[in-house]
This record gives sequence, C-alpha cells and structure tokens, in this order.
Amino acid sequence: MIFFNDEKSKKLLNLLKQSKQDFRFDPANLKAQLIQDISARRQTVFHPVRMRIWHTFEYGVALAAMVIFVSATFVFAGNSQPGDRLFPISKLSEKVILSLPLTAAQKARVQTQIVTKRLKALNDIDNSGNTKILETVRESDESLSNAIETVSVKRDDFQAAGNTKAAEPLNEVLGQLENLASEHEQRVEIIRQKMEDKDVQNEIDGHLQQIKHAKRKAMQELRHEEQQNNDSQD
Amino acid sequence: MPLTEADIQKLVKQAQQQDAEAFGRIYDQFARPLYNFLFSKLGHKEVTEDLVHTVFLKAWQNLGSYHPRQSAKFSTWLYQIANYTLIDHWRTRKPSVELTAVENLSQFAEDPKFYEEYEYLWIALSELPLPYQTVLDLRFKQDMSVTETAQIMGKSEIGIRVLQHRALKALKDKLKERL
Repeated sequence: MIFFNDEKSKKLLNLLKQSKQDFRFDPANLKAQLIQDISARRQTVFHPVRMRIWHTFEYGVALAAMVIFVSATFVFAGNSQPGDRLFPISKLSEKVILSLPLTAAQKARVQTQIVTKRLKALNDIDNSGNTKILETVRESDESLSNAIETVSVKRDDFQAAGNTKAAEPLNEVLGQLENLASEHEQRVEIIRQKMEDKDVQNEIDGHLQQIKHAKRKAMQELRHEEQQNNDSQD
Repeated sequence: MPLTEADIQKLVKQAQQQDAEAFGRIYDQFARPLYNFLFSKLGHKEVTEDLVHTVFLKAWQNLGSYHPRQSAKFSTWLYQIANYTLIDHWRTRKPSVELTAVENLSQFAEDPKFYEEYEYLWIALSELPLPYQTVLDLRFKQDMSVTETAQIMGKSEIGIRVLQHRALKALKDKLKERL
C-alpha cells in the first residue's frame, strides 16, 4: 500500500479535515414527527430463542468448516450468488473458512476460489435486475482487491523474512489472480456497455476501474518478483 | 453536551423497552452528524430530512435486534443504517441536485463564507463515485477508524484501506492544480 507522505497528499488530508462543517438543520422539527411516528409503531421484539437458533447455526457453520478443513477439501455453502437471499450465509461460510488456522498458501487458494466463484456469478447475471447486477459487480471487485492485496502482503512478508519457499506458491496464486482479474475486467466491461441507466453505468465504471487497478497491482507484484529473481542470478 | 458511549448504551437499553423519550435523546445526540453525512451527498434539504427520518425509524424498529459489542459503538450501527439507506436512495432515484450545481450548497451551510472557501473541494468530492465519497467522509470528516468504517460500509479492513487509497488518489487527480 502506497502511503500519502508527500506534501500535496498531506495538504489534501488537511483540507478534508478542515472542510468538515455543519449544514443548517432544525432537529426539533424532525424530532416531533419522528416521536409521533415511533409511538404508532412497534419495535421488532427481541427473541432469545431465535438468538439461540442463530448462534447454533453459526456454531454449526464453524463446525462444518472445521470438518472441511480436516478433510482438506474446500466446499462452499450452497450455490448462492450476490443478490440472492441466501448469499449472506454463503459469504459468512467463506469468512469462517478464511478465519480457520490455514497456511498462507491454503488461504490464498481459498481466496482464488472465491474470486472464481464471483466470476461465475458475473457470467450468470445476463437477465437480472440492476440491483443484483450492481451487487454482483461490487462483490467481484471486492473479492479481487482483497485477494490480491492479502496475497501480496503475505508474499512480501515471507520474502522480507527470507522465506522464499513459502513465498513461491503465493507467486503462483498471484499469477492466477492476474488472469482472473483480466476475465473479470472483460465481463464487467460487457455488462457496463449493456446498461441503459447512466447512474448504474457510472457505478459499474467505478468498480471496473478498481478491477483494472487490482490487475495492474498483481502484474506489478509479479514483475517486481521477476526482476528480483533476475538480479539475484546476475 | 455529548454523551459517553456508556450513557448511550443505557439509553439504548431503555429505548429497547419502548421508551420513546430515551430514543428521543439518542436522536438528539446523532441527528445532526447523520444529517451532515447524508446532506453532503444528496444536496437537497427535504430529501435529506426524509432520509434522516427513515434512518431513525429503521433504528427504532430494529432496536430489538441490536446487541452491544465491545468492538463497535452504537453510532457504528446507526451509520450502517444511514449508509445502506443512502445507497438504496442513490440507486432508485437520481441525485436531487445536479452535480455541477453543488455551489448552491453554500446556502445550506451554517457558515456560507466558510463553505465558499472549500467550494472547489466539495465540487471535486461530489464528482467521485458514492463509495469514494462515503469512505472519505467517514474517515476524515466523521473521524471514524478503519475498523468502524469497515463495519459501516460492510467491507473488510483491507477493503477500506484499498478504497481509501483509491478515493484519495482520485480526489488528488481532480485537484492537482489546486494542491
């Protein structure tokens, strides 16, 4: 991660902090209406039984993930994709698996599988509504950025510690992620061109730029590695 | 006088027992910062007031499912609701103010002269994608930590650092002649 240590960047950060100000707002006016409305509405009642069921479900997911880890096979909960009702559960199981005590190489492979899943979701959304399309594109961007950032940082840590044996499989994963980033980029570009809504197009364009940035980062990391290998052989 | 987190959690517990007065005090504490957070992106007084109302209504209705955590303040939960409400609104309707007419925001500023000094910054910010605006607002205007911002935006901490980096770069590119 490049940190903004130059003068212009420091000036920009100061500007942002200094520009903080209040807008004219009469809270009393809104409050009266709000209190009237909440008096007419009941809260969602807290159900201890439902909480226990949720906790049991979470523990069940964690236990299932442990079983999966022991058998060294990574299978993700369900086929839910971004925009589906059950997608949050699928994402939760991915997080649980990544939080297990896996090696860096195993985690990197899990993240690559997640990125591959998101690419499949991108390929499957042809006739979906705008909300689902945006969520799928956003998840695609996030999965790539997270994977490339995490794997790069871990690989750099290993290299800094002189552990080239541990760093090597992460280089392979970075190569795979670079290829996946190209596929994501192509697919998101096609999706963006099909959108008629300009706002949706602009939002997709934002994610597309981030995907391109992630791909460039993977390429730079690999090129840097190649350069270092060439230098050490000379 | 600002309340401590312990005071706020006491009020939340009372509000969870249908105590509207306690909820009113929570509103007093957070209405203005939430209004500022939303208005800077919407640019329309009435729309922002509607959204602030919606945020607090959702908070009231879902207070039953709120559980205090050591790692997150109550305000994090409120801002989460505000952020998702903003995203939903942004997707379904066009922005209420033309982005090029952002300079009109000065009439809504508490101190218009102060605003005019930073008008070019506000215009540049308004031209960024919504997630960029949100992360810069939360991190540098609301002074949220990376952890809090990640919870509010539903992203990982690494994701927030990446997003912040990109947002700052994009803003810097827009303002390079001014810096």
